[in-house]
Amino acid sequence: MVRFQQILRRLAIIDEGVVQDQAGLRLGQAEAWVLDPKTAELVRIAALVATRSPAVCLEWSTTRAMAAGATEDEITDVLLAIAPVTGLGRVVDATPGVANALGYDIETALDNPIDH
Amino acid sequence: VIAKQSHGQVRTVTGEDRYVADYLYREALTGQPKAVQRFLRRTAVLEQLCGPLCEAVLGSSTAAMQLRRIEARSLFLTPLDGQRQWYRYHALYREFLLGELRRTEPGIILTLHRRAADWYESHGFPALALEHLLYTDDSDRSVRLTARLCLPTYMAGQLSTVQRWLAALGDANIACYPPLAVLAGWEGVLSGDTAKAEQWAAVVDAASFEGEPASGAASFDSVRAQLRAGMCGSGPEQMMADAAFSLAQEPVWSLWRGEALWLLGEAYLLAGDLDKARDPLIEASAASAATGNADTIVICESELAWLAMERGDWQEAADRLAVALATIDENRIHDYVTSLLAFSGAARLALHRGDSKEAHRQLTRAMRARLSATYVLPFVAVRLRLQLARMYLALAEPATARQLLREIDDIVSRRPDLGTLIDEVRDFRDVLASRAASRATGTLPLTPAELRLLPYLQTHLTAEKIAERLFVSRHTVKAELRAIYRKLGVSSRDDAVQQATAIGLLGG
Repeated sequence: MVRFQQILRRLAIIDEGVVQDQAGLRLGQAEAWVLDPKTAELVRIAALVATRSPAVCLEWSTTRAMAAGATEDEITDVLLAIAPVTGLGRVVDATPGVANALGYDIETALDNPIDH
Repeated sequence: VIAKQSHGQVRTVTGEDRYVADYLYREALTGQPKAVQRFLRRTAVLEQLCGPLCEAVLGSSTAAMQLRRIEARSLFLTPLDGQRQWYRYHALYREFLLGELRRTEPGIILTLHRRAADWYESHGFPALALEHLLYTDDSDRSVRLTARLCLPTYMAGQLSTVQRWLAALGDANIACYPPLAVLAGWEGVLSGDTAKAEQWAAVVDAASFEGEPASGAASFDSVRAQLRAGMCGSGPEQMMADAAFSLAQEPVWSLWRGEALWLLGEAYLLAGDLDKARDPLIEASAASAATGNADTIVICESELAWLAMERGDWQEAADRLAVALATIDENRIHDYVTSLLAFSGAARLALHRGDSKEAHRQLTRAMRARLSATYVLPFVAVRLRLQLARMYLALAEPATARQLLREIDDIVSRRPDLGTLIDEVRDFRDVLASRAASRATGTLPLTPAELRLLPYLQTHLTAEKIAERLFVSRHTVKAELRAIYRKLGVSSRDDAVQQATAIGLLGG
């Protein structure tokens, strides 16, 4: 695989190594922050929803929030909390990406008669 | 014909070519006298042949002689032993002969299989007898023989054989014989198939059976109580009552006694009575060693090792884990759900000794196989994940610990009554929360859904096809694929397979 393909692939899946080292975006948290990591990740989800980011960004960010200790309920609360300021459309848009990261197959769930 | 098929291209004719092979086989067959042809066709139902077996199946006293004559003419027979007693046909040739048999004498096939089964059973090869019985319409006899063989076969490390038998019999036949339905329930429990376990547990609960079950248990009620105890649907007290009931029924020579003792020990553990748990677990391990029940030895020794580590007795723990791991290797039961606690115990021991490479190896083994530990064997499923979560937290990987805790929550939502295990989970949750401020996220583990997807990456199936097989949407498969790549640090399917194999998540 040639370099440009490597980079495009890794950006498309949000490979943190590439994002930090090659794109120069700092994903981690500076020691001086007062905000705890979990809250910081929740705020990031909110920002991604508000800027109508692609599903893969939402999946990635939601996974990070979960890894930092956020619960499923906290994450759905973020969606509810920002709906009045972002508008319903942005939140609805974001739902499948967030659901995917929570391991909830929302498409199948909506298609099927029984919940699972 | 070959030329037409290959569109005029020049190609080499190999022995594997279907037409050529068929042609050769047919030549080899039709060149023989009629009696030999019949002999070859009819004995093709046998995977292995010997003189007396052929005589029994064909009902002819000259069959043994015929077999020797055919061997002398080297008609695709391969000897299996030095004494030239057992033979088998070349696999493709046998396929061809079976095709001929189905074409020319379809009516006789059932009879041939029944005779083979009779011979094998009367000569002390019940498992081989069953393989033939499954082709006949004698479902009653098949069901009983399966019930008799299930436990010893499972104990010998061949769960997949048991699964094949049960699938061949079909649900309707199994349901007709309650002692076999119990075994089908256990099959679901031990393979982590929650739907099957629940289905058979319901059948078993509603059933009744008098007399002596073919499975070798003291009574149907005794094994039913064991299944109920293992699934622990009504809490530790009921589990203890069920285990004690079964134990009182099973005599010392019973194959099922070890299991009753193990379940009793587990019930004491859930009740928080660690001292009382010890004796039945030790006795269970000894009883299982006497009956050759490998998986019960493994899980009892693993539980005892963990108890020893809690007391700080590392020597006893090391000895017990050595027994457990050796038993796993000997019986090749690495994929049994009952082996998982041995892996996590070995990981803890390795951590204690400062051997982090070995610890990670054992942790990966347990993490990979944890899918089969589900809420239908809840005390194992929760205890295993709790042990793993503690170790991952100790290794500064809180994200993995959290993932495991989420899986525990999922199990507990279906089995809320797990005694002191629930308290242990709560305590651990507090510990984890108090470390929430830690900056490091660490590497993330694959979730159960992602682990389930992983083996499909080795195939050529597209995301759509994989989604169909796993009963999920295409979007989910694609999202999980991206997550797998991200977590493994790769960007292609091939690399993902390679990396997963390298870290022990795929392959043997």
